[in-house]
Amino acid sequence: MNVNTWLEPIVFFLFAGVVLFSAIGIVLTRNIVRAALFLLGTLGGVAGLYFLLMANLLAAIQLIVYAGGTLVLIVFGVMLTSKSPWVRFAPSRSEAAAATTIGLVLFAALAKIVTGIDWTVAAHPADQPATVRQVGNLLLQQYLVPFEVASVLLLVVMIGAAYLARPEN
Amino acid sequence: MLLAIANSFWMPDLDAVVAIGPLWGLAGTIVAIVLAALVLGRSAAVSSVITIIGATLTAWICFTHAPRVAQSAWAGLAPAGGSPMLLVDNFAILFILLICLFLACVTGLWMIGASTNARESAAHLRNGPEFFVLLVGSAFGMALMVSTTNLLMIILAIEMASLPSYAIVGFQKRNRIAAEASLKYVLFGAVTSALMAYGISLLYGFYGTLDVNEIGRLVSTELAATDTPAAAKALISVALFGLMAGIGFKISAVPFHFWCPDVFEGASIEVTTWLSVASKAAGLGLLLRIIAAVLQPLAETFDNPLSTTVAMFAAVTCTVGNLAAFPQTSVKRLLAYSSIAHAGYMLMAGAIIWQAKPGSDVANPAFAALIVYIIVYLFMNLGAFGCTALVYWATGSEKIEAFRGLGRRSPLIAAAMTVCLFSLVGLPPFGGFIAKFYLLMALFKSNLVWLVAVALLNSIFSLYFYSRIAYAMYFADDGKPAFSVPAFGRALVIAAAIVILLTGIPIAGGLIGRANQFASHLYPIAARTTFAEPQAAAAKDPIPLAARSAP
Amino acid sequence: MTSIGLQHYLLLAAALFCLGILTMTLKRNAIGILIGVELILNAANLNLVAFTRYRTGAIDGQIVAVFIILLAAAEAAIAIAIFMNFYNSLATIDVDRADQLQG
Repeated sequence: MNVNTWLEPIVFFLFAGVVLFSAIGIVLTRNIVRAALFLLGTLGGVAGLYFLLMANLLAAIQLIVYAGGTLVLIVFGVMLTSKSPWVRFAPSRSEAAAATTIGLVLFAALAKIVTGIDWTVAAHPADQPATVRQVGNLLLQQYLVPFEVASVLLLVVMIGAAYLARPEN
Repeated sequence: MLLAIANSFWMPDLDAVVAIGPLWGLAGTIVAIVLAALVLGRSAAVSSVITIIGATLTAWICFTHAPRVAQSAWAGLAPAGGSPMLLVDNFAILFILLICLFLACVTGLWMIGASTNARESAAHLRNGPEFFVLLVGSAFGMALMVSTTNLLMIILAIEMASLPSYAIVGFQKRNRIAAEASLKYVLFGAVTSALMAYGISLLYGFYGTLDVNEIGRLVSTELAATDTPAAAKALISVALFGLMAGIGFKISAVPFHFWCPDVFEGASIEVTTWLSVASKAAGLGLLLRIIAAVLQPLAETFDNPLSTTVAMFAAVTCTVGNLAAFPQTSVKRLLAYSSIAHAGYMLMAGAIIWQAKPGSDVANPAFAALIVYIIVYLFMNLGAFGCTALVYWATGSEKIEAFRGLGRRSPLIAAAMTVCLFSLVGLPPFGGFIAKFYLLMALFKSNLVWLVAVALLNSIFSLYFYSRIAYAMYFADDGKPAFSVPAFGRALVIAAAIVILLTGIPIAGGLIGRANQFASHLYPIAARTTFAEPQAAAAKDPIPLAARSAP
Repeated sequence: MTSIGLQHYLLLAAALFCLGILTMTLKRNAIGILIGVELILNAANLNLVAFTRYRTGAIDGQIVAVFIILLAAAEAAIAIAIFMNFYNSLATIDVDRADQLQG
């Protein structure tokens, strides 16, 4: 029909590949700085998938807040606590084997479940991205209460985090 | 254009704003503490007084609200047609009232600690405003937890309750033990909340709604239509496991309990007292709502293995708590394990609810028994932790040895502690007995005899380690000098002991009657959307438990 | 070329979830565990947004995803502050060294 029919799978597998590659990198790497960098790959790949899923604003939020804020916070955390030698950072062989087995079994089970269900899909999957106006309207109407609660949460968390991170004088 | 914009705005009506008064009270307290710190300077005394005033005011708002919601629950704060974001019913009001009263008590305990110049309260004193903002913030989150059935609000409320709790556990920054406790707490909390988010995403996808009541309704209509396929059952199980991870973490049910003893030992004693009661009460309140709305219809889909699952979880939680309490030498840690065990007893009520069938009144005594249990548990723990705090501030130790000869050194404290301990075991004539009695009666009536046996065996186990403290107080005098404790502290623990004695026999019947009323109010909301007509009729006319089996 | 549907996204999210669980079990560093948590939260968000597009029609799932991003940020802020606090008293954030409290 149009460009989307052949482009969409390519873009999906591209971003999915990025997400999976970096997530596997996080599991395998023994260096916490590298793990944080791989996380950037995962977050960016997921943001790309949001674009594909017609959630443009969410993709922007993912990039700005998650990749730009939370990830930077984590990187700062790594820098500020990285002076210690990483004792036993690498798991033992048996631990790794056990964890990999559990992970594979878990994935097999979840995959069987999500593919086993006959998801009655919406007749027409959204082909227009959700506009900022739609999201904003929902946030200030149906989701006004969570929105306000979130503001209280952020105030309290800010006070708590600032207190804990502040040097004692 | 301007008119179009104005039309797209939605304002909640005044009724809705008034209805959630108790939440305004707590949020206002947070703002007041911050503003007072900005205007009057950083004074711990001012913040603690504001906290007490705020908690009392909120409790008063709860009292004035109670008659208004007594007849029918109020649900709303969303535009017409949207799923309600907050609920105000007698059940929510009762829990918020308990949380506020307990908040005032914990603040009182904090003031006593500050007046005794204990070493650790120095940090609290210097940073009073931060401490109380975090404390009231977690109370606000707990109040939200018991007044919502929206999955998004549930996850927000649990985080609102948890995030400040992590910070107050590690509040003494120089203290290595506290730092370790908060590290474990935050890691455990982050993992369980992530599991919960994943579970909620699956529930949303499967049912296409975030409203727990709506999900409950869909479950029952689905039942009428066809058999649920195996994959769907598995998906719901995974989703529910995720959801229960988040709630199990709050009530420290096995296997989500590992944080509990470490956090309770590492945190300062006011914080331990706060978490041991408020966080568990809020978690159980939330659990009850979910049970009433969703899991009851689900139980029939699953031919009831869910009831057995919950019963097993409860039995294991209870047994693990009691067995691990055996070798403890620190009273704080012993009480932490005891609180795990009590979470297990309270979870047992969940097993009953899953077995309730339409038209049956069995669920009702379970809810009522649980409410009685939570109320009594609040005072038992307040008393036990209060006495431990007073001993700790006087002697500098919270080991069992510090309690030696307390019967001579400070007879009133020892007496109050004894009342609390034996009430925790569940011996008559204390409140703990009544609470356990009603719970076991409800279990017995729903044919969960093996669970009754587990509970009884556990109570007998627990008699041993609680008695060790009592033995130390009365029969192991090591001749240390007597000490005096602040009068206010003495009043607090004695008041708790008196309440336990009163709930033991004199007001037990009234308490059960009221609890039954409150429990029946859990139904209108659930019944309105969840159940078919006959059961809605049954819910309107609850058979009062007191009438059938009052002592 | 196969056309991309809901199940592709659900499978990807399931994989991300399992990798998150693996990260949490294999990393001894507190920040490593936090990164595992972020992976699971992303899996949840991917589920939500995919369901929003292909199944529910209404964009409620996107709103929930926005709130989960916010919660992840708040949680990371508190967690990193606590890690730094722990690091200041022990000079490590290896969770195996958090062994003062036992019994």
